[in-house]
Amino acid sequence: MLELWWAYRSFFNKSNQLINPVTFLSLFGMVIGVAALIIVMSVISGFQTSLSKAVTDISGHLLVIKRGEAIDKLEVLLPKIKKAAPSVTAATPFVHVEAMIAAKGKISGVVIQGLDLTSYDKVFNLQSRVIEGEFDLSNKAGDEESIIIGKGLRDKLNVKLGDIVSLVLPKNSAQSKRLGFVPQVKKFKIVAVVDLGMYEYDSRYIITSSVSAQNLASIGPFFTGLRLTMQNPDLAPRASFDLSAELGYQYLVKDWVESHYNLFQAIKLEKIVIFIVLLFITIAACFNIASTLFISVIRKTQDIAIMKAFGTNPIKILKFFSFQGMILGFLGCVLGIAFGLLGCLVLNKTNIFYVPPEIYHLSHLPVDIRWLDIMVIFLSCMILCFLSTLAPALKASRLLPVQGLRHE
Amino acid sequence: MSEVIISARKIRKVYSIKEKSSVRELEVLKGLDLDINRGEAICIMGASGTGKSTLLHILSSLDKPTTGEVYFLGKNISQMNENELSLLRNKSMGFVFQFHHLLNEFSALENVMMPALVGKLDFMKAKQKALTLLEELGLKERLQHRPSQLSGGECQRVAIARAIIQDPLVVFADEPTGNLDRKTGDQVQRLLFDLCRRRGVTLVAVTHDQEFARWFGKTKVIRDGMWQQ
Repeated sequence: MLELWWAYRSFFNKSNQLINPVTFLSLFGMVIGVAALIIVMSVISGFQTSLSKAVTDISGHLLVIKRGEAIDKLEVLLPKIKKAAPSVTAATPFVHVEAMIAAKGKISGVVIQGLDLTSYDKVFNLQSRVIEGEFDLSNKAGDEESIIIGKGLRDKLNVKLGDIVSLVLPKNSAQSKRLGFVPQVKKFKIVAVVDLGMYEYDSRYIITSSVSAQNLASIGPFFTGLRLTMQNPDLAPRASFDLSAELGYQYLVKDWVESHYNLFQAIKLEKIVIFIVLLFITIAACFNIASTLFISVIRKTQDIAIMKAFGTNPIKILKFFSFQGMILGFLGCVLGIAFGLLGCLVLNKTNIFYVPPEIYHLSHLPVDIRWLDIMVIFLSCMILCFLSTLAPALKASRLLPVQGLRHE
Repeated sequence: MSEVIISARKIRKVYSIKEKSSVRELEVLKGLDLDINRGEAICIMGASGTGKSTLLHILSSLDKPTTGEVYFLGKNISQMNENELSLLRNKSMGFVFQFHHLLNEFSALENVMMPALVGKLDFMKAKQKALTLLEELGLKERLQHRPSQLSGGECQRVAIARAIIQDPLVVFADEPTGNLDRKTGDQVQRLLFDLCRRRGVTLVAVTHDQEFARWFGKTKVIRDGMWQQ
């Protein structure tokens, strides 16, 4: 490729007039644009990933509940699930109770998640989220029953490990029709604190054993529903559809994306909009590249003339200037990606930006570098860069040889 | 009878010069005819601004006449498209200009190889051919030097090698020694002339130099856009 060789030599030649402050400004603009895209896209991807992980760690990939009543016996239900959705790898029953917590004179509304201690760890990933104490929900004789609370709730109630708290549940009293609901109070001991990754969960969730939850709610050995997990979470919507068809209208099946549909859609849209907005920095940088090339065309008028005199056709001249711009763009992209990744690393390690958890659901700025994002950014920038080279390259290719030789 | 290689008929060149409120036309060439035979050495002379270089550019397809036609081996080059003209220039024409116009980013050897590479000759063959030529022109020690590291005479010798690497039928030389001192200019002129004569290449040169003009078999003088009788 003669044009590429010429472009390479022209660009990296020590005495090259192309390497000047204007070129450096173009390069700098490109680096800033690409680095900004990489960092922002990685943060948004990190936000997506953290939320997905928080949701699936505590909720699994699929939720199966029976409308208005407890689910059928597991021996009946599980074979049906296996048949309709073979990709489901594990299932665990749970008890869901809404109650109030009272401790140190403060009260708060909570959601109690009663876990089946024999199977919960096949579906949930809670052990890794423990920040204080131990994830041990087995009740010791003579001691209060154990609960685990989110760190948000801990802060709200100002409680610590080992504290005894009361869970209050309104109970429909048949004996006392005059009173309507009678509060049922039970004491629990805090054995661990978890960071569930989402403010909404951290400030409301209480985890206990299914037996404790069943006793508190006085529902006997019944479960509210089943939570399922799959090897590939992306297949959950399809499995949800198949399960709904198999289990019938009495059952409600929801996948993890559907459960938080608005949130995930908003993030997706935000990512696209931010990508387009930040791409304008790169577009501005591409205008700089075009200006640099126009200057190069003027400076190289005589070289173009002499190359045309040798018999170089206009297409080769066009390619030469395009390659020059592309080399500049490529350098800008590579350096931009390098600086962007460095920026991501710094963000990841230092946690320098405070994120209000009550607004963003997260307590730190997450970073998730996705190679697909980098590829999309790289290709978009290179395409923009190529387009920006066309005008100066066309101008060069259309120059008559004599236009360069007249300057003699 | 020798074969006519270039034939120019009624060549006119008019430049439009924009002035404040009007466009003035300047007729540089006023209907010139010229036939150049294969292997001939022809010199075009004339005072500055008489259109010598313009005529050379038109004959070599680097510029287009306002009216009139140029035939190269019987083919009308005015009717050729850009790609056909590029091919014609690459395979059949060589150029030496007043300023050497070597590409600064390439060495002497690479500059000479350039037309051959444009003509899609294999890199190693082009290199070998360029080496032989540069050795013949006494530049064996200067192969890897950049133009900025060569003297004016050496640069012009490299330019001569570049002009003939494709074994052209015609070499067009536009005041090839105009930028050199007398002694170096004489050497370069001799080299160019000898090289073309030995290879049977037609040489069309534009010069002010009466001494150089004497070497040519045919000399034509332009005056007021016409051939001087």
